[in-house]
Amino acid sequence: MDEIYLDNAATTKPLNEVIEVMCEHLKTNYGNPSSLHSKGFKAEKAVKSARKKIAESIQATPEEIFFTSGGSEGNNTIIKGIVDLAHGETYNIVTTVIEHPAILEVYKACEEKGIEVRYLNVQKNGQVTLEEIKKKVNKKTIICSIMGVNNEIGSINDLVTLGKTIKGINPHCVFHTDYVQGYMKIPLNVKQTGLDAVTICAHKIGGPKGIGALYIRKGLNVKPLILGGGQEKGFRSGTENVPSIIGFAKAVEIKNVSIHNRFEQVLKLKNKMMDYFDEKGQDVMINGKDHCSPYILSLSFRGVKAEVLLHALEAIGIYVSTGSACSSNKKKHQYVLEAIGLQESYREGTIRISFSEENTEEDVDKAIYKIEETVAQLRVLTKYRTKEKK
Amino acid sequence: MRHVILVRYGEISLKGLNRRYFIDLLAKNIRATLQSLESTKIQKIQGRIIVHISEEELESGLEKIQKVFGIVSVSPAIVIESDFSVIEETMLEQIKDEKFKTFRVTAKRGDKNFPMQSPEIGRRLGAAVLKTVPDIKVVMKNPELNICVEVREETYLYYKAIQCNGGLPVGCSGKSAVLLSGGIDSPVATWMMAKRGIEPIGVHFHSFPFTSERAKEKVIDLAKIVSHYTGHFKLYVIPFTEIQTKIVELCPERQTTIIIRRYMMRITEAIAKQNEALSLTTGESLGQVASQTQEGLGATNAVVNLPVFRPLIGMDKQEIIRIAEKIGTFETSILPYEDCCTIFVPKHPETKPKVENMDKSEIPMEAVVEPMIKKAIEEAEIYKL
Repeated sequence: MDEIYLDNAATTKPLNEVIEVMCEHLKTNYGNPSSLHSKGFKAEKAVKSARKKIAESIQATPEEIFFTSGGSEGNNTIIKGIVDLAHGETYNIVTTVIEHPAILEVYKACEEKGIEVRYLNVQKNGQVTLEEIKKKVNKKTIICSIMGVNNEIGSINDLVTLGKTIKGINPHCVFHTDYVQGYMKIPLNVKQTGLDAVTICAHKIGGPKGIGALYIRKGLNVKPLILGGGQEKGFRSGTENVPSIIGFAKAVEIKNVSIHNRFEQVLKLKNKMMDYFDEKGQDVMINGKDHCSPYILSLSFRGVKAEVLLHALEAIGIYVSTGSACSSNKKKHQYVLEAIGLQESYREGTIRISFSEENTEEDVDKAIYKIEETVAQLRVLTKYRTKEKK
Repeated sequence: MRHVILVRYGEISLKGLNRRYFIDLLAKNIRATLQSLESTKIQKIQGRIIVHISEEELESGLEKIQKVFGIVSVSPAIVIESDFSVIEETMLEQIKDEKFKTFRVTAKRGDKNFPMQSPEIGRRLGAAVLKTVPDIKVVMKNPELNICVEVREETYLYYKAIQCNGGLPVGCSGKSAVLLSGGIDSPVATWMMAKRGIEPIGVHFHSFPFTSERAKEKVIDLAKIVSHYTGHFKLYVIPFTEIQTKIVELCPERQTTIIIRRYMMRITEAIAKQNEALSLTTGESLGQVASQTQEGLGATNAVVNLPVFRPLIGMDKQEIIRIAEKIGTFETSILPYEDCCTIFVPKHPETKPKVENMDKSEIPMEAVVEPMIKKAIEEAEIYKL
């Protein structure tokens, strides 16, 4: 059975070049960068060159890039690292209601400690407005985290404009973005956005799992989360995950040259599916039509349960996701769809299709056909009758 | 000095002429439970089973053996020569690091050749303890330390008895086919029947894509946990999608839940017969959900001939959860995957179904269902856990 993998926002298939360079490294260049001998030196040089590549990909300098174990660690590190250094009078911290749990849970933990957390609401398309920023961010805000691309519905925030507004209100507020779903998909220039911190990771762009990076603007003081041997200039201890770092850089090297082409290519795929369901789909909602990443499409079918639809599609070789993969095991986690005002009858039938440039138009045609067919079959079983299309 | 686990069995010793059979079965079940340990040897003596075990494996052996049904309590003990001075010396050495303010000595003489009688052994050992350890006194009721000495051909010295689950050795009551959904109740029901000596045959209905591979894996994990009590566990996973879809297609919506259950009961009975099981077991509890009313149970009961045991029938959810937590199935049971019971729940399920109406509603099924059932049973996956 031919497989059609449409769960690229959960993770991507590692690129062959990434696998090769990692294997090669594991076999031959296995030294510890901290070792004084030549094997250590070689590993250190490899990490150095990887750091440079990743820095250049967002117009940062190498000393502004710190390797982490991935998105969750990056988000935890920056939020806790800023809050822990806050002192003096009362302050607040700001984020949006539709962040990934790796942000929201950290903010909630701060809230439990008595810190004032202000949540930015989003519009129906999942975007944060400038009015909302002006309402919530003030002189006492020490950090504001706004995701670049939402992981469930793909909504894009205009970080440049948001950043200007935030800095206009409070130049000292740390502006942080979780850019895991945007990195290498939608160009980001940290120098233009006023961003102080950016979380990225490798396994959404053809790299290995368990490696990511945190950009921290030069001069910003952040308390380290993990102490120990003093790696990463004392900011993130623990022996460097050298093979993964090299794999990460390889993925960046390959993806960085084709951001615009891939964007157009994937946009075509998404539009094809979106337009089809928009025109012909019965009782289906497209969550976030405008200002969304071409890589993510959220579709809600009334009268079916997303998990059943997912398994029925899997049985015919089509892999999608319900909501987001990280939180799909928890039913309560439908807060993103709730925040954009989706009715419950649609929420429970929501699947996320996430594309990559490896998907073809034929894949998408087949997936459209199969999704429609499967939804219809399931609706027969649950005795759901679609309303006449206007 | 050797280490043993003393095993006490309660109810079995009352079983008259069948006693030997029960004890042999219990010994066999203990042996099976401890088979992964290297050092164990099992010995039957008057009124007890003795498990010889190395010091290194004692802790893990104790943990495992507590799960064997038919055992009332176990004590980790040491075996020494039946010589008073050896007994005294060893005991004093062993208690010297214990912290206690009150104690007693419980002595029992099984070997009538030993020169002292039980009370005298107790008195003399007690005196030795009082002389060695300062600021302590003897109490007969609830002492902090109970020094137990059993003088037989050799002498057993121990300080605690760990209460176990009691019951009867698994297998002595024959087999029962258990409907395992993957929820909280059915593993508890299985455990309770196993406690009365039943060897369970698990039957799980798998309706991919309505239930996922993870839901199936969850049932296998649950069966594995219960198998620590039952020794082994044969689990049938029945592919049920075809039958379930047919029922939804052909039968009235309000009755689908009950009719689905009726077919599950029929198939489970067929599996029971294949395995020479003499009954069916379910985790139903009266009134817990719409299909577990008296009428609902009556309607599902009506399609099988074997007796159907429902050990949880009079229990509240909280009581069931407490047992699930105790036996270690709760955490696995609450993993949130769609299971067949939740997926086709009609908006207004029939709560007072009549058997005649159900029979009538199933008429459209009759023409098609027989080969489907046959195929489902033939294609069942069998796991031996």
